[in-house]
Amino acid sequence: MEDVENKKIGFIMCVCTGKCPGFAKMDVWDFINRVRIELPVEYGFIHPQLCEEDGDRFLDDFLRPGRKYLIGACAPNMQYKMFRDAFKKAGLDIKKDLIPLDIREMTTDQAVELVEKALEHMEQEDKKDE
Amino acid sequence: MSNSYDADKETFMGVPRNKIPWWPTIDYEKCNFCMECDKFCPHNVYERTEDENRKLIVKNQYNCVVFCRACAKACAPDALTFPDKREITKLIKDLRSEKKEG
Repeated sequence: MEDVENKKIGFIMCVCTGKCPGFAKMDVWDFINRVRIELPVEYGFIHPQLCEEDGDRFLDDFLRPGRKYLIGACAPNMQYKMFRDAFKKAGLDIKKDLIPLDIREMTTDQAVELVEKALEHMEQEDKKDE
Repeated sequence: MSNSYDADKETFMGVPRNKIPWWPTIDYEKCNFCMECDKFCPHNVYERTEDENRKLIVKNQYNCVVFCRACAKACAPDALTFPDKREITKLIKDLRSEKKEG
């Protein structure tokens, strides 16, 4: 049985087809490489458009109960709306298991810093729960 | 919106963006001008106006990200529609073929 308890959070970046001007200020490849290599995440990768039908199908295949997912993409309220069904289907509580971050209109450094802060915040919250 | 974006020069799947008719259409019978779509979209696709009957219009259609329908998902009265994705996909393929042949 896989030890999900000790696994770090998974990081998914959604780039809104890659043609979204909201990501024009950052180097998405530098960003994702810094997140996956330098920050305490289990993995990090880029999906082209999670809110489209193939994104739904991907989440259906990918999400697993007992895990938390940090998604760097668009507005958090929209992420809650767009991914609600997929999280529910996977047996996840979207309010607890999704940490949505809006990384649009940011430089690479700003976006990395935001992810770093979110991870620190999660760690502090986990310590409180212990 | 980033200043570096130029809809006239952008391409999507190998086709000039301004050849792809993908943007939202507002149904003014349904729209309650809550502006949730405009609040979500960072690309200045929409513009707020002083016109009482059309307080919101689609101003910069080619700034819309092809196949993005997120604003429609934010729309409670379901007043936004987009073109058929399959038709647009076919159009993109056809335009790409024309480019190759030409």
